[in-house]
Amino acid sequence: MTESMSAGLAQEVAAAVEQLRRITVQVRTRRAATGAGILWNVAESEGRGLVITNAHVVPGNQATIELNDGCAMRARVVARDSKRDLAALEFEPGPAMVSMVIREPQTLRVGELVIAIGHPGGLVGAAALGIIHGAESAPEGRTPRWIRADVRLAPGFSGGPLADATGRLVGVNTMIQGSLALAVPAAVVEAWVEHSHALVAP
Amino acid sequence: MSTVLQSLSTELADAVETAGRAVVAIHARRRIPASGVHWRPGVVVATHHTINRDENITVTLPDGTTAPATLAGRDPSTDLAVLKLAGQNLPAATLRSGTPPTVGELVIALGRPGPSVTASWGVVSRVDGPWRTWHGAEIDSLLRLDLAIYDGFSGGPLIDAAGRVLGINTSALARGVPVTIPVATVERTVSELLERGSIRRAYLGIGTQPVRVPESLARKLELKSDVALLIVSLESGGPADRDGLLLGDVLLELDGAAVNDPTDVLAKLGGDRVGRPIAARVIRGGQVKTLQLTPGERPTSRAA
Amino acid sequence: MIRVLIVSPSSGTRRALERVVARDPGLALHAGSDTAVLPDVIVLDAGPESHLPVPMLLEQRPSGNTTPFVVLLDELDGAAGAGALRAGARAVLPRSAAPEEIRAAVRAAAAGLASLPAALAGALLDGTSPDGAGALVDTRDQILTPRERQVLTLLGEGLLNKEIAVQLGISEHTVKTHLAAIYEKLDASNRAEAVARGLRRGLIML
Repeated sequence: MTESMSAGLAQEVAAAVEQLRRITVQVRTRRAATGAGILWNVAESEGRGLVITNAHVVPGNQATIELNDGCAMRARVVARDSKRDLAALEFEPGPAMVSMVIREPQTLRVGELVIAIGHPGGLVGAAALGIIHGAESAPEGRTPRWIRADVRLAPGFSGGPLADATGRLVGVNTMIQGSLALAVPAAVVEAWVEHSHALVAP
Repeated sequence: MSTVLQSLSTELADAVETAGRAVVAIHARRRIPASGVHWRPGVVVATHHTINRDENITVTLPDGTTAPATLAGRDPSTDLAVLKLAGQNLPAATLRSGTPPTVGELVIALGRPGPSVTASWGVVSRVDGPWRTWHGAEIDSLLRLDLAIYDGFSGGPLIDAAGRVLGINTSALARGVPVTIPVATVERTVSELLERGSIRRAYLGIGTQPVRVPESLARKLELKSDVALLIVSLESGGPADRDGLLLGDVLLELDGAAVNDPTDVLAKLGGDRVGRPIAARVIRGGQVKTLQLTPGERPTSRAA
Repeated sequence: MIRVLIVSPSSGTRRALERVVARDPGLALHAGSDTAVLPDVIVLDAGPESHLPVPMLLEQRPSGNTTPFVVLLDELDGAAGAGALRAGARAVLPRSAAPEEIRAAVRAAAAGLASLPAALAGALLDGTSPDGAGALVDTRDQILTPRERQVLTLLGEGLLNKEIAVQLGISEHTVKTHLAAIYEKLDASNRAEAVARGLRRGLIML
């Protein structure tokens, strides 16, 4: 790669990271270490905002979320799925708009670049760059349980976004397995949000 | 929009897809399958330490089908093994043998521990010159990698961003550190294994210990080095014994090169030395003598 | 008069040997510093303080000098004694040898004969140590058992445990037991280390 290309790459990575930081929040509770969360699209927000994170990041019913601009707010857990390790938090007032595109897991290619955002060890909005490691064997047509990426994460990345080179959301970082990172596919999260949000009383 | 980022991402994914067409999974042990590379038509290269049996070896091809394979030979000292695969229409790997890898070069390690291909990325962290493994085999260059090892790493190829193969990966040659055996070494070993089933090595039948030659003696004999090898054991009837080497002889040089360590002797015992006399300079009785030793062939274990 | 030079790293042993020589009217002590007259026989004590193996010590005399050596060793057994003789010693004796034996060896050396304790003669003619390889190292010092040496050699060729078992006709479990013993004896923590140490101790044949 030429020098101008690598400089261009650095700029683009910085720009992609900046975009992702805008939808990444910090999730703080008394009982657990600080994790990350993702501002989620909601069809009818009615002034409320939705954050998706891992269930293990919010052991209780409440948490404080801090947005990228520094605003901190109380949020409450409105849905939880311990098996998938997902939790949804609501807070008010919600952001004006969140635009996020979901990447279909079947279209992921081994070797393509991915970016993760998280808050490791006190650092806020740190980024890690990696590649898609491999497809998990899933029955024909079904979504695999995990997206595996070769990217070095730390606990503060839990609940945060994993995105592709175009900024589309690939998954929610959930676990570290050796030197690999496991993420819940974004499509799975989307389906879960739609399903459980319907159950939540306004 | 991010063009360079997307281009790089696509380039890497393309490299994986292209090179992945020559990567197979090998079932030759009880646990997880090992990876292998379709190196030449009908020839699959794998790592020796992942092949635990001689028979009933099967291979999973990129299209998901299984085919039987036979073990053609192995070389424990380079950790390489060669399998023969019959009647498959598989592309052979595209090798990059012209330009050697450079430190910092972006590389991907591919594996196929199951039906699908897996990848980890990183950089070449060190490129050293010719290197001798602890069994005495010569590896053309030592490529150390800074990337993650995972199931299926050993036996898979290291590829560059264009999808060309730089060598075969193994985690068993340098104490768990991921290392790549370069194309040149693999080619040489594959050729010999296909021809003979094992790698030929020369043998003298001596056991040695490094000793320090007293300074006065080293000076008197005008020796280049004050460390030499004392012959502490000699195989009765072995090549060295037969050619007149004695216990207590102090070996200074073999074939004109000073020997300070047993591995220096191994360096002179490549397969091409079998049956060819080699000059040995020794101290005996206070004087330097030169003997002609003709190595025999080292007893090795065969694949089957 | 046979002039005898005593060479010993230990002053105590040297004095004892000097007394042994002094008792014989036909033997005289040669002061090492006297360069005008050469000794007829040199008695060399290759004791524990001398770090070099015997052949190395024998090489230290000036070239062209063919003064016969009588070598005293710590412990004698076929291998060490035979090695010293092959390296040029005219006689080998244990340091604990009786004064008469030492004097007899000195006289024999001066007369151009080689001598050694009768018990050693058989072992010397046999020329081999128990595991079939001639060795310079005292067999009791050969840390590894013959079987362990075989396992170590195959390890050096890069064989897996299973392959070693097949080659030697023993079980894989037995191979692992041997490996554990080898690691312990060579103070190695893995195969590569064991092989490296084995090579440098002459335990693996090249």
